[in-house]
Amino acid sequence: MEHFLGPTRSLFLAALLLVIVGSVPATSSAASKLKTPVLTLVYALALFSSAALVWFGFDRGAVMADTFTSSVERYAVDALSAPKEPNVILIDGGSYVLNGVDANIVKSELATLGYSAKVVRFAAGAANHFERYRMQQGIVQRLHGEKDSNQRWFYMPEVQAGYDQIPLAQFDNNLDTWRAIQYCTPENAWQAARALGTPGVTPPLGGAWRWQLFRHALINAFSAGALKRYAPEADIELGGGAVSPHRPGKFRFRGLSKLITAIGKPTDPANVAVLPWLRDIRDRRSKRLWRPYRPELLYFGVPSTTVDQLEYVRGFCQAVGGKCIAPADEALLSELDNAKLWRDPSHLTTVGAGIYSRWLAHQIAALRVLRK
Amino acid sequence: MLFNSAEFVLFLLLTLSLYWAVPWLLVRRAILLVASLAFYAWWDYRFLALLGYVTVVAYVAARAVHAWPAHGRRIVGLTLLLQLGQLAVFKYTNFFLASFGDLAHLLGSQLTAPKLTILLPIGVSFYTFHGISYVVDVYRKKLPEPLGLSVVALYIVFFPQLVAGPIVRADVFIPQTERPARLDSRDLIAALKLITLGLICKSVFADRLGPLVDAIFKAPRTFDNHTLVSAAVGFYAQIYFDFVGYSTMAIGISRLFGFKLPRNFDFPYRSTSITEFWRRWHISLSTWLRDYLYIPLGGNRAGTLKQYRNLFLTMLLGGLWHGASYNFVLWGGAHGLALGAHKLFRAKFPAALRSGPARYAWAPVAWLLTQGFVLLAWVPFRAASFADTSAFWHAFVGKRVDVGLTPQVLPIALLTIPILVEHLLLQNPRLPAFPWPRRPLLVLAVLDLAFALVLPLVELSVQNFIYFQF
Repeated sequence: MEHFLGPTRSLFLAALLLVIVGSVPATSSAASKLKTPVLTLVYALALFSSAALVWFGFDRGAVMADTFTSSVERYAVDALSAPKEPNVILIDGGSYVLNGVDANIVKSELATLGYSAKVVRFAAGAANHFERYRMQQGIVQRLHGEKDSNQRWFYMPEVQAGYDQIPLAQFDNNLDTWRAIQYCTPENAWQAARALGTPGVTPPLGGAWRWQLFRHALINAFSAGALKRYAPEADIELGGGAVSPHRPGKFRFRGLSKLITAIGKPTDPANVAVLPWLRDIRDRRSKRLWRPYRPELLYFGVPSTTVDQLEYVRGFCQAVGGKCIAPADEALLSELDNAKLWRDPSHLTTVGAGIYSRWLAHQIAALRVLRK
Repeated sequence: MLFNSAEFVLFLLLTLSLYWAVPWLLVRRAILLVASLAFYAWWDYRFLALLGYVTVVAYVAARAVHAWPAHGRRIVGLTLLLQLGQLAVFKYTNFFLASFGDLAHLLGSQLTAPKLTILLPIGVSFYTFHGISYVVDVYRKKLPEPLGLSVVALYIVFFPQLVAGPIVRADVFIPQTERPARLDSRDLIAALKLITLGLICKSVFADRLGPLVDAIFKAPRTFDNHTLVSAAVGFYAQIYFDFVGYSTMAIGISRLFGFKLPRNFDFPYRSTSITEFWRRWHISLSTWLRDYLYIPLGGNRAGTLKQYRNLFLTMLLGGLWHGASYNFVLWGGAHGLALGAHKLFRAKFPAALRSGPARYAWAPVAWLLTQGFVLLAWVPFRAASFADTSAFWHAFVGKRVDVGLTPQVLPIALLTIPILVEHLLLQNPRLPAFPWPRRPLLVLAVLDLAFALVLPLVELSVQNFIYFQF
């Protein structure tokens, strides 16, 4: 059966609006009593108010944006509704995490170590920080701030050079798509613009991002075409925290010996830094968003076959000091030094993800922050 | 830069702000002129030169007509040659070459006509008609004297009407450029209402139908009869909402600058005769063709037969104006024949069916016949070839083997809902007007809310207006 946003009903709604607008008296004599600038201002203000009402209707209604991250959002809401475990671990990341962290394995490994934890992974491929933030906004809105006072929540943002150094990474690849429009809320777009004005970041679109970002924000703010991207919650596919089965990809695996050598040396001082926007914008927003759950921030990085990524994570962890898990472990890297464990130079296979997820669980436990 | 794009919204706001910020007529005209050229350059700046050519030819010719009235007819003839010449080059070169090749084949020659790569400048047919209209109106002394280049240029390039009409007459538009524009609250409300209506028609109805119709017209022979009939009905609705949406927005946007353009559509699908249809459909084109083609050809002044000939020729050329293809010629020719047939019918059966109780029985039959014809005639207008047209027509009468895929299509009844709603309920003199309180703030609130509610319904994979290609 067609849902209430379906094409037939929306066609009827449009027809109804046509009749209403068509029947409005356009030549009211009373209109002339009001000054045009006043009327223009009233119209503009009322339009923004109406658009905001519609926006909130979509954002807070029993509908969800049916975009790239929706199934993750639904899964997270489902998993986080009244968790009973004393520890709740939220793992946030892009495709490295999607392919490299299996929430179910982390959970079971922690259980073997004596920790009961609800592990939820918010990972979406090619999703930059702002897209992931928007997804988390949707999750938090649906959770209604319920938290057991005995619970400890942990928020684990992925440390990844690409997404950290290019705050609007992938925006250029996703121009004019529902996913880009969905995450370009005016607030998110504004924060992205702020981030792009900070030192050390690379702007997308060769620098010509302002207009495109503004345009996407405009479309989002006025909910243009929103009917196409929203669907009833029940219609959205339910995602999961496991890593999808993947075979090794066809690429030339050059081994991890360079990485193993690199971790034997001290980190280049130039790499020991946290980009200002991550601290001032991303982390602040995340803390504010998850405030009802008072999560502790634990940073982590997923291994790849490139030295640059490893060095970036090492430098980051060193700069933040503690509460940061860099995959700079010889035993781990040696175990992953096998072509069959890699889909491509950046992403692990399911088997590789199993190895890393178990290792990650041990590292989290070793931080001694979890509640028994 | 489509009217329903974010770029255009910003462009419009900027232009409006500049335009109303200055009190001087000349500066306002200059702002509009520059904005219009920028609007056109956004599509393809290379064709600004063509726009300049059309404007300069019109300007110089009008001056010449005024200076040498005794040679006015020749000057108008030369203008037509120059204006229609560029139109022929850009729009019809390949059509003529292909036709020549086809003719050569028919005569047994193996000559193959070359196909040249010529870009069709957007809106060329519309601004060429504006250029012609201005010179002819000066020749006919509808305009008191030739005007300055900036006024002529603004008439030809005024951006709301530049790329897809309406084709506004020089004697309607130009006087408005010469008196101080004002925008009172009534204009503002009327403009906002028109823009909202246009947006619903174009961005909701037409753009929703577009992908469905396009997919079927692209390969009609792979679909079953039901689907072909649905697509034809879908196009019947799409072309109306596409064009009425664009025209209504153009009129609304012009009103924001203080220009009042005449309406271009008057519920054409209410028509109960083909003559009435052409009084209601693309009014600015049909009246242009009447005044600048049909009447100069002799109109109805030289006997019935010549009147039919003139009517047929006018519609044939009107069809060709829409595009360089025999399908458009077929469409125009069919309408020309239908207009002739209707005139003949009226002459043979005078008024008997239009009075007394018979009219109640006749009206629905006449409506069905008229709209059935219009619907079938739209098929060659949209189809890519005669063979495709034939497949559609055969599908209508069931003379086609029902082969092909059966995709999920909207039921035919659904496609006609917007038309029924609009035609039956809007401005219907038989229905009482809704008793809205005549309070401007309430009207604005309704318009605001409606606009905000329409936006989620619009199709974002924006499609070009169908009439841009003409």
